[in-house]
Amino acid sequence: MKKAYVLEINQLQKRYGKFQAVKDITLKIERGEIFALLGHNGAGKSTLMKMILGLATPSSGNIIIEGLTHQEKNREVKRKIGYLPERMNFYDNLTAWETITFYAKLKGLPLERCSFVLEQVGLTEARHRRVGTFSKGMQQRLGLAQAIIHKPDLLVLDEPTTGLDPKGILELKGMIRQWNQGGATIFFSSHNLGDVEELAHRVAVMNEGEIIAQGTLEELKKALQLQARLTVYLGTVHPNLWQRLAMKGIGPFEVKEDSISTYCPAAKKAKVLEAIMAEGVKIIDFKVEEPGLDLIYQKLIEKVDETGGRAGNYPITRHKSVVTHP
Amino acid sequence: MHGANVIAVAEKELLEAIRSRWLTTFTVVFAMLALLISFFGLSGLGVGGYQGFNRVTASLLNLVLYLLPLIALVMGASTIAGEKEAGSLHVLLTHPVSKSEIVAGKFLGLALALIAAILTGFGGAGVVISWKTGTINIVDYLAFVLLSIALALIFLSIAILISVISTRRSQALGLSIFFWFLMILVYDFLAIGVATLQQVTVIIPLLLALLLANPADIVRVLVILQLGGEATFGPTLAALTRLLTRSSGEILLLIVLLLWVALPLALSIILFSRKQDY
Repeated sequence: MKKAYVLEINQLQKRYGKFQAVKDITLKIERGEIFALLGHNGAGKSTLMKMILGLATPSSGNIIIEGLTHQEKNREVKRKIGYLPERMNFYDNLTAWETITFYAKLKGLPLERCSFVLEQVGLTEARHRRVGTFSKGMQQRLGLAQAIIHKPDLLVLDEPTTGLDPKGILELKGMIRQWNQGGATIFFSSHNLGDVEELAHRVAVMNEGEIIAQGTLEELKKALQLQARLTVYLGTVHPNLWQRLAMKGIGPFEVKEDSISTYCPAAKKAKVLEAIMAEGVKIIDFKVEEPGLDLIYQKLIEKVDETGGRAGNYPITRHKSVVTHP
Repeated sequence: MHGANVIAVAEKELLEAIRSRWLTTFTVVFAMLALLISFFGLSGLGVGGYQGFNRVTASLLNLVLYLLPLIALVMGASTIAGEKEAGSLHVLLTHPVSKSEIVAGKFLGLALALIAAILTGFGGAGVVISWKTGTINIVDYLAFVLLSIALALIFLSIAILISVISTRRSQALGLSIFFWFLMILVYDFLAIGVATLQQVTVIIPLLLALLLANPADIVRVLVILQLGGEATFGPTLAALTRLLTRSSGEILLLIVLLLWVALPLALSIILFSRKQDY
């Protein structure tokens, strides 16, 4: 039986001389998840990814992928991982077909897989063109093809949307979802909060080598006590409406000619609407703006800055299953 | 080590090398020069037969000693350092292939490309020599070609070592050109300096040490010995010649040549495998 976690990271540390790039990270990625890693440049994301890929050796702690470690079963672990780097150049003088068959041979895969993945990433027509003539987007597709050719259990994508045009980004997101539905667990880093919000089931935010928060968006919102913005469009204007609502403990309101807006916890939205209706006011329409990942990220970084860069003072929100150790 | 992985890397490397401008340019220049040397070297002199063959081979030897180490160093030096710089090495290392397989595959692929280029160059020259002199000493010529190939492989092996310790392509190229300059151009001045010493008892061991420390000189000496070296070395070095023309002497030189291929390659594998962080 397969384990519940595809990737387990336990008390992982990485030091380069005196500099500590990764400080005591513990993380568990469940099978079938799309997990996003956020953080600004230099936060330690790349170092963490390199250790997951076996390109860097942990100073302490361990990484278990499908029950195996790089140190003990390097070749087996590599068969379970697919990797797309942020930036790379393939072999300019080889064609797409020659490039992908090279990787397929290293993985002991039949040539039919090569045709299949080139088709999947939309490079069938360009298969006999030299990679040196490829655009950034086409190189990225070839990168994806080599990452998924062996149907990896864990797909590691480093800034996958960087440098792609809008159409490319849309197609890439579609492919990521498709592979995820096909059973691949996806671990990716991104600077684009919109992409993360759209794709990820769970996120972790890294800062100065530590994970300062992890969980689903809902969990993070709740932990940060972020509020939704509720705007109500009114049919009849009632002169003292907001004062009366304030007496009920609802508000404060931002008042406009035809609407009133307020911030409230997500669970209290219905109560606000009920209170307005109880005042006998006709509601024409209403709009709810949930706090986005951008706000979550901003709040988290603010909190870290407030505590003098020591993220440890801020409680890490953990996915409930993460707490239970196997 | 998995043979299939070594072959896959070698195949890719060979394909890349064949399509690279470096190798094409080198093959054309090398073949042209070899043809010119053998054609004009034999035209003006009016010497035919065995003597003519020896003279042309000696001229070709100089061409080989300058050009082959240079092209082998340039091609080998960019191979791993270039992939580090381009980022393709990171991707390659996430595939189930070991670092020793990568080094072995790269050596094999580039070696095959170099051998193909050398054979192309010498093929034309061989035809011209046999046509002009009316005869060709197949054994001597083949020995010369084989020694040239050995020379190229030695410098390729050293180049791969340089490539492993460098982080950028430009650094690797700079280091390898410096090494070429040292071994091919500067080194012989040392040998000349030693040869002018008065005591023969000191000269011989020193020269032998210098000889063994420079693979290009080993190849030079072996080719000259193959062509009948006693006359070439002259009376001063009679002792060295006597030492080397004994079959044990030639075997010693051949073993040292082999070591010059194997040791840098082994060291590359050790250093490359030991490096843990990319």
